[in-house]
Amino acid sequence: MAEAAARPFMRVEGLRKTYEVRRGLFGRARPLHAVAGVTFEVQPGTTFGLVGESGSGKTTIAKMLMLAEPPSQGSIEVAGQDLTQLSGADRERFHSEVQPVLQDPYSSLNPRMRIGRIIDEPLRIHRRAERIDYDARVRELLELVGLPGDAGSRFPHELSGGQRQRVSIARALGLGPKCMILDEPVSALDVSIQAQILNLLKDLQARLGLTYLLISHDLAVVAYMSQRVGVLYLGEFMEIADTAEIVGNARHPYTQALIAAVDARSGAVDGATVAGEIPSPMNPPSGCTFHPRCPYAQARCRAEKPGLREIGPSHFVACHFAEQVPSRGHPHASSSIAPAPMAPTFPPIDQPKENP
Amino acid sequence: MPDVIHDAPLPVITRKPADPRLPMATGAGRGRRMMLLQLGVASAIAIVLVTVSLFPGLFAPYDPTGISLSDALKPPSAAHPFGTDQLGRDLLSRIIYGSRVSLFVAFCAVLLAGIGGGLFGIAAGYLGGVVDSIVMRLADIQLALPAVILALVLVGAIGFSIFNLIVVLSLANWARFARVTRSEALSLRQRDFVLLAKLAGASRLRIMLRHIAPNVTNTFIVLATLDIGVIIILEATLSFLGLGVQPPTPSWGAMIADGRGYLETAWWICAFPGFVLMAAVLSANLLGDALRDRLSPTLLRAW
Repeated sequence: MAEAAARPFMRVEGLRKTYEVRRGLFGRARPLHAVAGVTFEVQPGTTFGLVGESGSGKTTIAKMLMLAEPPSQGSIEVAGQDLTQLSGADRERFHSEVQPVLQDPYSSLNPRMRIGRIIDEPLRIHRRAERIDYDARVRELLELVGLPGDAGSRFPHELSGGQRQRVSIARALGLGPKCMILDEPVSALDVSIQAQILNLLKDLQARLGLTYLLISHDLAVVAYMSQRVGVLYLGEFMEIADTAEIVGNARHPYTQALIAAVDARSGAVDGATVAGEIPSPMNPPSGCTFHPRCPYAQARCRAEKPGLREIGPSHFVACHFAEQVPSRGHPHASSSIAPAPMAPTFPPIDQPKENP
Repeated sequence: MPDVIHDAPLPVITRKPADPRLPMATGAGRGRRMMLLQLGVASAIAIVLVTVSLFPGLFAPYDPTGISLSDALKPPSAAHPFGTDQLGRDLLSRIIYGSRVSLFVAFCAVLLAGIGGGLFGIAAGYLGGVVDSIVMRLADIQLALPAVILALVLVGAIGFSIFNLIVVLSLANWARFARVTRSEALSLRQRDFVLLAKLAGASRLRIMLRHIAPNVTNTFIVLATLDIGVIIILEATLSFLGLGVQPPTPSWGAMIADGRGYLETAWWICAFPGFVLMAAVLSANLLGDALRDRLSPTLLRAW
């Protein structure tokens, strides 16, 4: 799916975000590398998934892509235009083409605004069409996301979490964007609702030809939605590949651990999940940043930092021993995160056994 | 974290508390009855006072400035329920006309202080930086000076009129509004809907007026109700000291001041305006408390 034939919709190169963190009154400022140089491309009409634990830099990347935070280094190119060089009107146009959907449906809707006003706010600001019939447009957008057309007169607190997330999506669609940045769009929702929202997003993508950048800590969600997946750890990619490759032939121990976590949750295998927590980006481990938690770590991993290298067709891994690491991608066991077929009826994440 | 509750089918609208910070009035049994009783008494007093002050002519039995020396210092009787003062003026009528001044001045002053202080606070909290520093230092100055002294100085400086009185009272009371709305704005600016509005291209003014301000109204209403009591007392204090409404216009504070010299012989001159003043302040405080308990965005519809 992700042949480099077409021109990528979005190209991110060497993106870095470094914060200066000062400890105490006289402490010296030390750099915190929230995002330590990531490079990826998103093909138009596809979904690129970013997976990682909390603290891996997912949300920082999303913020930079939304232009909510300036990158410290690197470039973001959307439709051939470098976002870091944008100004004024171009910036405004960018905001109407790339729309965000955020994680928390309770925080992302103003509790004192009616749904209709929330949805048409971007329209009113951008005044795309001068004499626009806002009410009709709101109704249309609400119906597009599967809400009753008269929901516009309601207040957010009258809606459930899933309905609120639909409102967020409707708002994002108002300006007719080409791309949506989905920052953990379902992680605040009940599992049964997650499936509905994901299917809605897929449906919208197919109907409107949208490009998605999906961010989630849940590999199952990312695998279900994406054509291509990047696995983030401490602000760097550990592995980037097409979804089928990630699911069936993961070569990085961290990716394998994430797959094992999904399998363990669904009860397919009692896979050994990775121990410990993500280290502080203030003080990253030497060599390979994953080595303290890696079951296969060797002396070389502590000393030498592995770069991303291509070990298969468009399959990149940052691991010295990618070829030797035993494959976990046995197709039957990992069926719970198998890439979705074209006609999604009910996504596999809705397993009967839920392990919170 | 996700609980395994299945969501209702779409068209069914379920209610969930939108803002867990604000306590909801869920008191059951005795506590709830007490609260309703308080609310009832407070609203009854407020309604009577406001009605009377709006239509004093309908309720006052005499002319509030009508001097009749033969009736001076009469104790409460059927003809003069609250008695008469040293000039024979009917106290009930004076209290009724005085409520017009006291309540009108207090209401306007709270409105002015609240809106001014609130806007300053929102700007300070949302914009931060220099604006924040300036507004907060000004607020510190106001809070550091005792309100009565500040008001005394200001009245002395700009001279007396009802309008000046309102301005002075609000200048002596805006800082609390600024502080509270600032802290609300500080937490609201972190919310995702503000970020989304910013990303949608909303101007800072629009964000402050459309996104921050509506979300501080609950706090604002509660604070304003409580503040009315404070300002009524402050206005009475100024009138008591002779810097408020000038005679012969009646005002509660001035009436209490008048009665001071007759406390031993004619207690009613001080007592009745004092009681009414107390009732007004008490009702403002009770209403403020009740509103604080009840005003959460979730319940706004029920009001």
